[in-house]
This record gives sequence, structure tokens and C-alpha cells, in this order.
Amino acid sequence: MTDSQGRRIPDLAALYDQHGEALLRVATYNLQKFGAAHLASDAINEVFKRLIEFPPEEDVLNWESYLVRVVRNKAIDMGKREAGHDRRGQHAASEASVSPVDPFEAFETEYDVARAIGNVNRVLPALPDLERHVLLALYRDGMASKDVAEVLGVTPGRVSQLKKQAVQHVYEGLQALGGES
Amino acid sequence: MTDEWDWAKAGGEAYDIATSALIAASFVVRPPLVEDRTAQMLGLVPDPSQSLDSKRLKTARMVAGLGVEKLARRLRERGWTTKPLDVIQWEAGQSSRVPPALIAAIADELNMEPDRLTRATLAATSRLERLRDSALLRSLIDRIAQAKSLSKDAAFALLERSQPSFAYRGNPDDEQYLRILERFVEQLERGKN
Repeated sequence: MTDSQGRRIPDLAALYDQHGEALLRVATYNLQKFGAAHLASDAINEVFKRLIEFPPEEDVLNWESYLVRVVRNKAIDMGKREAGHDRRGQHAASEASVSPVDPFEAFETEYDVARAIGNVNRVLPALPDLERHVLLALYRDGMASKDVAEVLGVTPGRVSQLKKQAVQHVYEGLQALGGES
Repeated sequence: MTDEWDWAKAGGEAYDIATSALIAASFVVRPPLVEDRTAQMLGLVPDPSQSLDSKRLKTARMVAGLGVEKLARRLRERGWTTKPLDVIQWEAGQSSRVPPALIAAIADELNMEPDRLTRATLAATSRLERLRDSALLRSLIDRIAQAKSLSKDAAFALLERSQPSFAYRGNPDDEQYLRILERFVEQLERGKN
């Protein structure tokens, strides 16, 4: 199949095979704004279902960028729906699940998020050991702060401090790698 | 320290939250293929009952007049990461667990139906063996034997070799599977196979 310029449209399966993990990360990032990271796979599934039925009408020059954009939009739509649904519930909606949307947008105006996500793993090895351990325990292993404190033999307050420093160092590292869009 | 970083520090919590979200997202990994609904939907999960038939692939590629490199290049143009060595390995029977979506792409490049590039594997064969004594399968084997002037054993072997790959799509139960085979035998009787 070709587009209006005669360019071949790639197989969706091949695109998913190649970019699936990056798309899952982009969806997860965007859904976190709404406390709905668990919907990341659903967002991607919806996007590909839609693409099977309705291939893009526009000519796509860079499929990876196109998919990142479409997945981001779908994730935000689903996140908003989820947050709206929560707000209608009795007490499910926390302020935190909705309020970070605007700050995120400010962050994203100067940042290529998909690229930055890919760069995090390049930045982590350069972090001081303790800070890296804290990030891995909290974000990769999903441990609670108090458990991390126990494992590392420090106070929960110290864990919080290490996390804040680590996050700042990651941000600096991403800046140094040129993660700006 | 960059101006941006100073600004970020002034922005404070928003950057902390957003960077934390980036970090958390960077640890997300794809689920295994069998648990990945999108991969299943797109045909990226190899079908254990079917595998790429190395001899049929090589013959079809040569009939199509495509070299190994040209076939690999055409698949790459479709977005696959196929290298010439992959094609060589497929044709040598060294790597038969090729996902259905890629088999479909190969077949498309060779102007043929994907079913013509696959063969039933042990999983499919053992299902036929298990059902060999069922009344319907016995009658199907009789019909093949009659249509093709074969012994019953030869008719069974023919069915084993020729099982249409769609016989396993959607995981049909035994009864559905036999009905699919029945339709296949009807086609055979009409001289389509």
C-alpha cells in the first residue's frame, strides 16, 4: 500500500514490533498525569485498532513521530475520561490526579518527551549510587518509601531528600544530553 | 548550571513531577508477546501450530525472481528489520518461528497466499492424530482417499501435510476444527487443491 506521494505505508505489525515499547512508555508517561498509568496498554491497543480501520489520511514522513503523537493524544483523552469518571465518584478523585496537567504542559513545550524517556537510562548510571538505588527501588520496583528507607537503613525523610536530589540530577543529565525538542 | 535548569528550579514542583513521571515511564517494559493484546491482534505472536515452510519459501522466492537480499530489502521497506541472513536462515529451516504478520508480508511480496508458505507443526499433527478415530475425521479421510485414489493412510498423510493454516486461527474447538477440515475436503473434491 502506498500514500498519495507513492511512498510505501509500512506494516502496522512491523511498526508495533519496532516501536511498541517506546509507545508504551509514552502512553504511561502521559497517563500518569491522571493517575491512570494502568490504561497504557489499552491506549496503544485503541490506537492500532483505529489505524487498522482508518489508516492516516495525511502523508506520514516519520512513522515513529506520528505514532508517538497519536498515542500521546489517545493517552491524554483516556486519562481525561478516567479523571472525569473519578471526579463523578464519591472520593476517588484526588487533586493530585488532575492538577498536574498544566505544569506537565509547560514542561513539554521545551522537551521532547519520547526522546527524554529513552535517555533516562543513559543518565541513571552517572548518578551517585544511593540516589540511583532510591530511584530504582521507587520507580522500577514499586517499593514504598518506608520500605526503601528500611532497606537502605536511612530515615524516610532521607529517602525523600535523596529522591528529590536524584530527580534533579536526572533532569540535569537530560538537559546535558540535549533532550529539548 | 544552565539557564533552563535555573528556570526549572524556579518552576519547582512541576519539573519534579514531570521528571519523576519520565523516570517511572522509562522503566516500563513490554509484556511478553503472549500477554500482549496488541501484538496478538497484529499477528506478532508466532502460531505454535504453524511454521514457515523453508522449502516452499525458497521455491516461491525463486519463482518470483527475487534474490535473498531483494526480499529482505522489500520487507525492510515495509518496516520489518529483516536482514538477508534472516531469509537464508528461514530457507535453511533454522528459524521457523516467524510471526503470522511477517509471513503475510513475505507472501505478499511473493504474490501468494500466506497459507502456501506454512506447514502444520507437531502441535497440529498431534491434534489430527488424537481425532483420528472420530467418525467425522474417518469419513473425511475416506472422501480424500476416494477423490484422490489413495489408501487411507496416504489420505491421512495428505490431510496432515495440507492442513489449512486457518484451521487454527481463533483457537477452534475440536468440532469447529473438523468442520474447517470438512470444508477443505469439499474444496479438494471439487478439484481446487
